[in-house]
Amino acid sequence: MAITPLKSDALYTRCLPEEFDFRTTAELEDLTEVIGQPRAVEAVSFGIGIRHKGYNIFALGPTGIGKRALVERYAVKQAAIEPLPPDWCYVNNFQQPHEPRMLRMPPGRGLELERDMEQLVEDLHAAIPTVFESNEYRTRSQAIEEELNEKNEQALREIQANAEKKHIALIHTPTGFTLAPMHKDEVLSQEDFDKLPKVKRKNIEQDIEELQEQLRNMLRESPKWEKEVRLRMSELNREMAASAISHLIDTLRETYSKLPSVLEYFNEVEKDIIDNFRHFLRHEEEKHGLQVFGIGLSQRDEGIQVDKRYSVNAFITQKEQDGAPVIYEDYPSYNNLIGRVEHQAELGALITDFTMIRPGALHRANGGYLIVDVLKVLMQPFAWEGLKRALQAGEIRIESLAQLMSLVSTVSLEPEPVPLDIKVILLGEPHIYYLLSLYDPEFNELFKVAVDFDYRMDRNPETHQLFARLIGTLVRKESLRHLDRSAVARVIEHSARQLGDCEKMLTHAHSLADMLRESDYWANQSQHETITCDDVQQAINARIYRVDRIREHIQEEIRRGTLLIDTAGQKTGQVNGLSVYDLGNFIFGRPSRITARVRIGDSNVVDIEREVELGGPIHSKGVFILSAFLGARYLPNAPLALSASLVFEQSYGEVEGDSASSAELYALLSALAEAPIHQSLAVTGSVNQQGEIQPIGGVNEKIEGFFDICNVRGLSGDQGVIIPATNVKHLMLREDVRAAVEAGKFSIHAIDSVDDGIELLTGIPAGQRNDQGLFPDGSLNRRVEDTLARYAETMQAYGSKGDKTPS
Amino acid sequence: MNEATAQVTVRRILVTLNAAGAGQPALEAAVRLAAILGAELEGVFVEDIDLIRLAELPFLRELRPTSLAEESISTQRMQRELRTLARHAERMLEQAAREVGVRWTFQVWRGRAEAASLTKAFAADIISLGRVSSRVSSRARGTIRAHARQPRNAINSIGVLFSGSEKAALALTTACSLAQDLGVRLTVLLSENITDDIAGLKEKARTILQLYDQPASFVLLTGSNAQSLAQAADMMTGACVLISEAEHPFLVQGCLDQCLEALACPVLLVR
Repeated sequence: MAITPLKSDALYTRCLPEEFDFRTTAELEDLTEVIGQPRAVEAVSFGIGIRHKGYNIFALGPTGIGKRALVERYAVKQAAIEPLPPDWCYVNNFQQPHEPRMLRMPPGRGLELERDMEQLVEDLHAAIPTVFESNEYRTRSQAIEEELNEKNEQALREIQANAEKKHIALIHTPTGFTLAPMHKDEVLSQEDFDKLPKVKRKNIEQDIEELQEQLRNMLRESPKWEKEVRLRMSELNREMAASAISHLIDTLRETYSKLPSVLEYFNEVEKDIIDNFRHFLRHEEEKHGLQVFGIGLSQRDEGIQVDKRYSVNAFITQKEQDGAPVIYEDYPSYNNLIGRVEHQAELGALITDFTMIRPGALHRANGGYLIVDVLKVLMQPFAWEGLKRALQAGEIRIESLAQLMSLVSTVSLEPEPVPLDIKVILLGEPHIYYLLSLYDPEFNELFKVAVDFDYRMDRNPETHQLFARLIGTLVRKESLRHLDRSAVARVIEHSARQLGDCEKMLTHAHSLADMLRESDYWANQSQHETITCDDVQQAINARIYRVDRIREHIQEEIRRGTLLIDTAGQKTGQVNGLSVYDLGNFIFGRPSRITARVRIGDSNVVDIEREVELGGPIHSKGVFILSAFLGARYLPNAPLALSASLVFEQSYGEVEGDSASSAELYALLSALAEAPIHQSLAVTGSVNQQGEIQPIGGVNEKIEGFFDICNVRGLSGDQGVIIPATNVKHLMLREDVRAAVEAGKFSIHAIDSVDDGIELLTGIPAGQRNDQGLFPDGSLNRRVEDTLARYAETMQAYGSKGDKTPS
Repeated sequence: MNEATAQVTVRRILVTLNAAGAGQPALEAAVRLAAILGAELEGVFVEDIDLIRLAELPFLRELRPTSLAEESISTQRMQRELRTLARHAERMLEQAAREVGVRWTFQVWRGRAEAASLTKAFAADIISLGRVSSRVSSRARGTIRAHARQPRNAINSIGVLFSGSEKAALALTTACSLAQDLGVRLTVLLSENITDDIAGLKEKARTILQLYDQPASFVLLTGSNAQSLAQAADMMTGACVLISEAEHPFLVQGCLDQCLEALACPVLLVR
């Protein structure tokens, strides 16, 4: 059956400007709904709405598809009707200063408490000194001390009076006291003492012993009296301090009377201030701190600077806003997610306290929604682990990485964990979702809602209209010129071309916005008020030109004969295959010469690319299919005594994919049948074991790659490309290609089977087996089978002589 | 001689340091004054002969108020401890003198630890006396434990006994200099036992104070003994220094030692 070339209307599916009833997109209303993402919309709606543990969201889709915009829109909408989350404050734990306490406060009251406590401390600096400088305190404290002194002096006077009566003096020695006998206001010397009568001496010794006993008793009693005085002074101090504090604290108690945890905190504050009232009695110079070598030292008691001791770290406070927070964390490092404890360097030592606890994104988003890019989380050390741990535990526990990894063993802060009520929304590429789903057992438990974004949508008049409104919305958002309807149509066509499918459109918001911005630029250059079809085309052309240096070089080398590609004549065992080069942001096609050589052998088709490890696994798979096809189709009852080699000529890089497998098969059949192939044709398509031609990717780029070479050399009318019939729906070819086809100067043939292809390439009918199981005489298949039969006989003849396979 | 030129005649200031460690405020006052007047500092460590004698008596025991321990006393130990204290006193003197850049000498004086004996034995222009005697008199104030502690309070007020004599004027100008240097209060103590013309005495003092632009308060002593002086000193809050002419009637005829015992502060005698 003769294969007729495709007509030009099959090569491109236009979007007609006449479809639209507007002149420019300015007339269109903003698009409020999301187009082309029904699955994602339903999933995100479900994911945001469901409030159960583990129902966090993973939005998967290509970068730039609009994942963040969609989930953020739904999250913000839901957050607006949710209550404001509470404020969280860290305060000093007076019993365990390294474990700061956390206070949960109604929204907005955290800052109020912080300010109130600052004011309290300021007031105490005035109130406490006033009390302790009062006449009342001075008189009462002096009275207590005076009582002690009187007691002591009384006791001392008694001893001294007794001693003086007995001519004995109490004397202060370098290390203590002693009692010595006196004579005429002088201490009796040893010599004079010895001269005294024995009785007198004995009496003196006895007197001294008695007085010593009195002195001893007094010395023993004295510490008790002093202790008693200290206790009474302490009681007085506490009483006075309490009187200074109580009215100030009571005012605060009234203000926060409905918050039991705060009231409990106030009790602790009051007790601590009474215990440590002396902090507020320091002189000015002491407040400013000590200095060592000119460096100021802060005054610290039990590790916390005095003025900070009673301050409040309003850690998370809700400002004037409606609803729950929606936070996007751009840099989700461990510390930025979980929070951190900062340190301050002081004379080479790092010090910290509860006022230096800083919140992370989880704290800020607590009670609402946190959006993060999963790749960024995974790339930050321990961030993923930290995030999962917080979600699993349902609380945020701030631990430094050094603590976590036991790198340091110094005492640091262990702030009380904050209960976590949050919905985390991860954004990422699909492959990351699938990898995590497969290899991270906790992932599926924590992120139960997948929001899968589609990157394409059907083309029809309705979707064209929606797409036009999307364009209008983006134009307004970006403050660009509006597009006339021809420009809109061109954008839609280009969107289909980008996708490589005439029936679909690409819904990639970022690339669409880029195209609109660039078109706006060219419209501005051309001083157009609205963006026209030409401006869009100019943007497309300019974008291609900016990145197609490599394509241009390759084509130039083909033109100059450096890269050998025939576009005319016939050659046996040689065919023009087509391949695509993917540069990331630009794809282009080019022809490659594929050659095949055959001879008698041990049924082995050698893929030279594979042998030198330049062929990828899919390419190798294609070549193995060729062997299977040959074995199945020809000489089904005889061994295949074929040794063939296939090569991509002048290919020095890796070859991957099976889109050249049909071309390789044609080269092989041509060599076996000794039937030359028209070099004016190029071929693409993969083949299966049945000889059916299967679709391939990049069909537009491949056709255009061969067309460009032929066009430069001059279109003869014989030139064309053979493509799989299943790829016809993907055709969105360039206008010059379509024009050449229309003029009959270039052709595109869509085929279903290998037989179709080989007939087109050789001009010889392929032939079908008749009732006797034979291919018709003169048919290409007959010529192939005859060659293979000859190889088999020759091989058999060698085998019967006991010889080895001829080399 | 007028009051302004009176100061320049001060060349040597003697300061007593003793085993009871009661000399620190006296040392501080003397050092500051030596710095102000450019005088040489003469430190004297007083070895009370009473201590040497009692150490010879074998039956005596020493009671220690801090540790509540007891030990017998020996001459050897007493001398060793006195030497240690003397060295310590010398170091203190050296350090204090170096800090303010004054010349200094040091010697150990053994004898009857009486202020009168000391003032006779040394010819300094000003004598800074702390409590010198080792005896704890019934007149002394405070407790045994307080005696055992070394006073460390900084001088924050100065009292000056003013009789109206030339030497009293010199004492007052010295007090003004010291008060201004230390930035502390000055109290002029007047006694009605010395003159009936208290107003005239006060006016005389004011004239001198005006020369130095020194504010001061006046206290009238009601008695003529050490106790009335002590009461006046009590009215001057905080640790104080008393400055007086050496021949003030309150301080002659053995009253000086009583004053030193009654007062908890050093006395500077201007001669």
